[in-house]
Amino acid sequence: MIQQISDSELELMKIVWTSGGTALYAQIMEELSRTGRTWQKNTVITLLSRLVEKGLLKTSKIGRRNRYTSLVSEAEYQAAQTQTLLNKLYEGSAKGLVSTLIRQDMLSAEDYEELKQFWERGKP
Amino acid sequence: MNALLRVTVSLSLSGSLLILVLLAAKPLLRYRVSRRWQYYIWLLVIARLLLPFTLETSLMGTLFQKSEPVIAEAVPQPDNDSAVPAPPAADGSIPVETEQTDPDITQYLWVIWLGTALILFIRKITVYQSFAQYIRAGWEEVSDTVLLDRLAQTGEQMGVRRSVELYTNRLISSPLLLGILHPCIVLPAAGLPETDFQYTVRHELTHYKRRDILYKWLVQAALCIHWFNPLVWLMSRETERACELSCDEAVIRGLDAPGRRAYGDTLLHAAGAGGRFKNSAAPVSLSESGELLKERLEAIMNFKKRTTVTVLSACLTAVLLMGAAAAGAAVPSVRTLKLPENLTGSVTDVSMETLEFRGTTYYLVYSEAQLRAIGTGKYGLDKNYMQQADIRLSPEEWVPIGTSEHPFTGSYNGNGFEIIGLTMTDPDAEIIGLFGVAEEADLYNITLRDYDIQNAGNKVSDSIIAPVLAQGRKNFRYYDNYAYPKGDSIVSSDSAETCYANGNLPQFGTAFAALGQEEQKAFLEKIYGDGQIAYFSVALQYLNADSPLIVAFAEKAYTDGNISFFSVVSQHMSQEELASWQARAAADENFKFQAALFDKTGQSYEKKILEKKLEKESDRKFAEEYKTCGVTKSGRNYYYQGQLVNIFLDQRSDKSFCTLDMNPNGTVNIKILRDSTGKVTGAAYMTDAEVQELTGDMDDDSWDWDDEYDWDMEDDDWDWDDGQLMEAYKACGVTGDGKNYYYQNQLVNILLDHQPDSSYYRLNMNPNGTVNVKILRDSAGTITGAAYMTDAEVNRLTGGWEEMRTEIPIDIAKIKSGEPVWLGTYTIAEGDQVCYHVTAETGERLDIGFAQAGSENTDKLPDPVYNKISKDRKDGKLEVKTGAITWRDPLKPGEYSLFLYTDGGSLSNVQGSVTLLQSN
Repeated sequence: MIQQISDSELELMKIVWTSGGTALYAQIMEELSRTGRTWQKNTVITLLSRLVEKGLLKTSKIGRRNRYTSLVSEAEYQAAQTQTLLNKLYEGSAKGLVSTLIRQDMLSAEDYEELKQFWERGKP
Repeated sequence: MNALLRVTVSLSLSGSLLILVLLAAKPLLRYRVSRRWQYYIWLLVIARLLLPFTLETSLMGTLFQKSEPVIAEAVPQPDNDSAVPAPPAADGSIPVETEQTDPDITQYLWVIWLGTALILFIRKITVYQSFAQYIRAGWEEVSDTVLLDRLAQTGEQMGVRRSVELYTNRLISSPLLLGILHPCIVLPAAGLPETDFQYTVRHELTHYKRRDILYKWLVQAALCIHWFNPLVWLMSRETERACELSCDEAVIRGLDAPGRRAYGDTLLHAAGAGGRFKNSAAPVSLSESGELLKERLEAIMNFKKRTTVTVLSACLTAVLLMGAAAAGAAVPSVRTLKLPENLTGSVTDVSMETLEFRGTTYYLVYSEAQLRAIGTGKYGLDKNYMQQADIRLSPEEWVPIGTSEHPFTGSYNGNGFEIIGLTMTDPDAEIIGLFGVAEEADLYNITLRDYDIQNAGNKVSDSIIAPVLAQGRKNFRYYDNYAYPKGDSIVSSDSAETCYANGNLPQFGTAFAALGQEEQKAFLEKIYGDGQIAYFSVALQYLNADSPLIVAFAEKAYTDGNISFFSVVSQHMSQEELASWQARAAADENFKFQAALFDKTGQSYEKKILEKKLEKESDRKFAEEYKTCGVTKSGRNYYYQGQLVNIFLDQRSDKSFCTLDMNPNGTVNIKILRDSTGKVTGAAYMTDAEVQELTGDMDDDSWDWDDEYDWDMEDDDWDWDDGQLMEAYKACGVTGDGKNYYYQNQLVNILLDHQPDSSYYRLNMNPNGTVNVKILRDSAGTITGAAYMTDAEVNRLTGGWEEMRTEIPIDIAKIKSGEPVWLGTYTIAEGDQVCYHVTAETGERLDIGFAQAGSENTDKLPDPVYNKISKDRKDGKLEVKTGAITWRDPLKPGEYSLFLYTDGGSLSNVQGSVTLLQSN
């Protein structure tokens, strides 16, 4: 069970994921400033330590530098989040979710075809 | 374990003193010194409450020392029979009757105390834990990065490096700070206005930065240990207030007036917000009462910027620090703390007075317990000890001071006192002696008497045995130590001769005592001839009190003018004998001896007067002589042929000085010429060579002019307590600086202050003064006031006594041998003086003196007689001529009759006078 994280925490997770599952603190700060985030150093540290506490990251020292490694992949996270969403909104029914997506044009016709083929191929 | 409780109680008491001082000072200091100081000063109290260090002499140490026997009695120590018994109530305290106290309760008092303390402490921790758990369970992270950024920024401004977590918990009533390693600020709600958030965070970060949580836990620890002390509970409350107030102070220090107002608003808002969890039991950050809030707001309104360390707070800190140290604790000696088996009840620690001398501390040893304490606790083997009394040891086995592993390395000065009855019987002892092993130590002046160690160490083949010191290792100094074993009290194998030859002074005495009277006489003469005054003094101590040798040697020393030997002999004289010698010295005008005798009888007042008189007299005599050769004296100045004299030298042929005077304003150097008989023949200018010789002499101090006695009345030997004396004088209207004194705005000519026994406190003369003042003292010597001196008193003091005398003329044709002649009865008061001057044409011996009125008879001299002078015919003359003999204790004031007497053939044509000098 993956704990809920805040949006700002997710931002940080994404940075870690995109840099291949591990990132140095300095890299994270660099990436943040590149995307226009001007969070305070201690804010970032607080958020990172919350992520560590929640079991999404682990921290290790390289010399004096902190390295953060993700314990949960992006896919795992997405799956967990989707599961939560399904449970919360559709009482576990994926069908309901998909029909909402199609009905709201959030899923295009091409996307739908692609998904169908994906399903056929993978069917046992 | 009661020892531990005892230490705690003493800490509690001395901490209480400090708490009371701080509480009392609080209203005075509130707005005068910084809140920060008011907060941190409590740390001193906490340290006092928690740390059992103490000075060597402290209030508590003394207090508990005094109550020692009481405690020792009240707390029976079952398995302690081998320990030193509780000292008897030598200090006068009365031991508590054992029956009145139930021993079982007092014995287990410590269990109650320690149990309660532990329960309290555990409770504090569990309450805190459950509180923290409760907070954590209900908190939510603040994920708003805007708030987190604000927090981070504020932290950075305040120099807080660590990231501080921010949570909200709707259940709490006010913001708080949790944790030390992982600090968390918990707010009642996230939706605070920006300023409120800012100030709240600032306040909590300040707490974090100052480690207030640790402080609070320290207070809690003190509280748990001193749970029985209500003042400590009070202190706990005070520190909480002081904590918040000083925290506020720190926050608003950097703010302007609107900022301070806003901060006050924040406090108010926070109080109004209100949560449900009232956190009073646990030491967490912000627990508020309305009263405290009011005080905080008041403080904010009255805020004034102060420099961090004001003089006042620095002084106060110093004072309290000293107070804390002085209050001290009753800490048992280190030994009892170190060894657990001793901890169970050894409350009989010994204390020793100390003496500071030339930078060295000496521990003073008066008693057996103290002697046995050497080498234990703070009375280490490297300390300096000085015995102050004869010590009779109990027969309990002696444990030698210093072992092979831990030798004695300090010093022990037996000071001539004895240690009596040292006993060692342990057949297994390897090292036997008062001191076991000493290394680089000083052992001296130790006298062991009746020691019994001959059976100790019998089973050990190579035991080391010696009464004073068994084994001395390198660099130890050992001298003037004596040991006399039990049983053979006065056994001296050496004869007096051998002792004398070998320099064995202590054994010499006993050996000398064994000699017959003739041998003693011969021996004394030999010692006298050798000038060995120490042996002479010892020998006299071993003479019988009524030995005729004492009189004989007094006579001999007197005749030889040997004042030092005379003064040794005079120690063996009765007061009456001394008085009669004094009279004789006065009669012979032997002022040196008279002065020495005054010393002996404690008549320093008379001595000073005598010396002053002597000075006057000789000055007058010399001045007359000088006049004959053209030198005149005016005041202190000498003139020769109208010129002021620079150096004035009058030297006898044996180079001793009559007068040497130097006057820096003078222009000529003059010497007086004397012939071989000492008669003045003239005066002459000194040659340069002579001046050179004289001043050269003076440079190397090779002459001692007035060392024999101090002519100077402003002698320095009573200047030691000047400060105190000056204060006392001031109290009765006499002010002064030691040289000039003022009384009622007048410069004092003579200032006289003497004790009832006429010894001086102070006698000061200032020629420029206009009034004569005396200090009045009661019989106890306490100053009661000051008064002008009467003319009579001044006359007595300055020697102008001629005007006050009663002259009794004597003109008697014949006095028969053995028949006293009475010359009237006189009232004589203490301090009155008598002066004889009588001659007889024929006869061999003349006695003159006083007897108690009513004891007169004509066929024999009554007994006793007073101030009697006996003179034999000498150089064809029979004359009694004396200076002033003072009538004083043991001669009681009263009616006395004057007599003349002879037992050496009839006297004819007895003439002269007896002068009575009376003080009023």
